[in-house]
Amino acid sequence: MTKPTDGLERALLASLNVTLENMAFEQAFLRQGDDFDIAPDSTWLWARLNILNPVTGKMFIRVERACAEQLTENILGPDPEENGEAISDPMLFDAMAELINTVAGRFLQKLVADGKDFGIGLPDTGIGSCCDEKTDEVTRVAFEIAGQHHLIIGVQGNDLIALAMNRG
Amino acid sequence: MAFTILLADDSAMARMFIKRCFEIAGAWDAEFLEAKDGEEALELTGTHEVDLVVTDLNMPVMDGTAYVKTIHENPDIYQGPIVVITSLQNEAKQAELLNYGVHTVMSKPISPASISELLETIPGWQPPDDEESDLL
Repeated sequence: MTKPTDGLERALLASLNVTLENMAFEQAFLRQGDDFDIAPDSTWLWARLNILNPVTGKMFIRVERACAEQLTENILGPDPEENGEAISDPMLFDAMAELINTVAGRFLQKLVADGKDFGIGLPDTGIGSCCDEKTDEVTRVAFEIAGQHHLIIGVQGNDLIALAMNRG
Repeated sequence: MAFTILLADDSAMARMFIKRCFEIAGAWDAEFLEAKDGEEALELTGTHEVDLVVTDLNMPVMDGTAYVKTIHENPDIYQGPIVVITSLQNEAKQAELLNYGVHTVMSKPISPASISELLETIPGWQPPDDEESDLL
C-alpha cells in the first residue's frame, strides 16, 4: 500500500465531510494508527467507481455495515413513509454508491486544475473488499464517524495516485 | 395546480434526498415525477406538464448531457428551466451545459439552503401560502 501524503488525507477528509455534513448530518475524523487494518469480511460493504479522465483509476469507499446503516438512516431522515421499514441491502448499497459518487466528484474538483473537465463512471457495490488494498497501486485513508464507526476511502491506480499526491 | 418537478437520477437515494431538500426549501406541495435515467426522463417530459426539470449527468442508458441536448434540439418537448445537480461539476462541463440552455448547474451535495436560493431564480416558481404551510 502506498502511504498517503498529508495533503491527500486533508483533501479526502474535506471531500468526505462536505458530503456527510450535507447528506447525513455527520462529521468524519482522520483515524490514527493501523488498527483498522483488519481483513474485510461480510460486515464490510464497498462502493467503487472508475475515474475516466484526466487520468484513469478507481476510487472506493469501504464501510462497516453498522456505519452504512447509520448513514443511510440519516440520509432517509425522519419521514415515516420513507423510513418506516427496515433498511434493506439495496438501500445500503445505493446510499454508499451515492456517497462515493459525491466524494469522488468533490475530490476531483480539487485535483483537476483550472476548471477542466473530468469524468467518472457509474458505481458498483459489494460485500467485503473490492480489491487487494495492500498493493502499491492502492493508497487509502481511514476515518472515524461518531467515535465508533469506521470508513475507508481508497484511491487505486498509479496515475491517479500520482495526481492525488501532487495536487492533494 | 401543483408545481411539477421532474427528478432524473439513477440513485433512488439521491432522488429522495433531492426531493426532501426541495420540500424543506418550500416546495412542500410540489408534485414530483421521478426517472432513473435520461430515457425515462425524456418520456415523462414529453407526456406530462413539467414546470422544472432537475437532472443528474452520470446515468445509465441515456446520460444527463444527452437528455439535456435532446430537449434543447427539440423545444416542442419542453421549454422550461433545467437544473443539473451533479458530482461532475466543473467550468468546462458547465459551459457545455449552458450552451444547451441549462438554467443552473449545481454541485453535489446540495442542501435545503442551496435549493431555496435556486427556487428564487426559477421562472414560474411561487412559494406556497404560509397559511397552508402552517396547517401541515
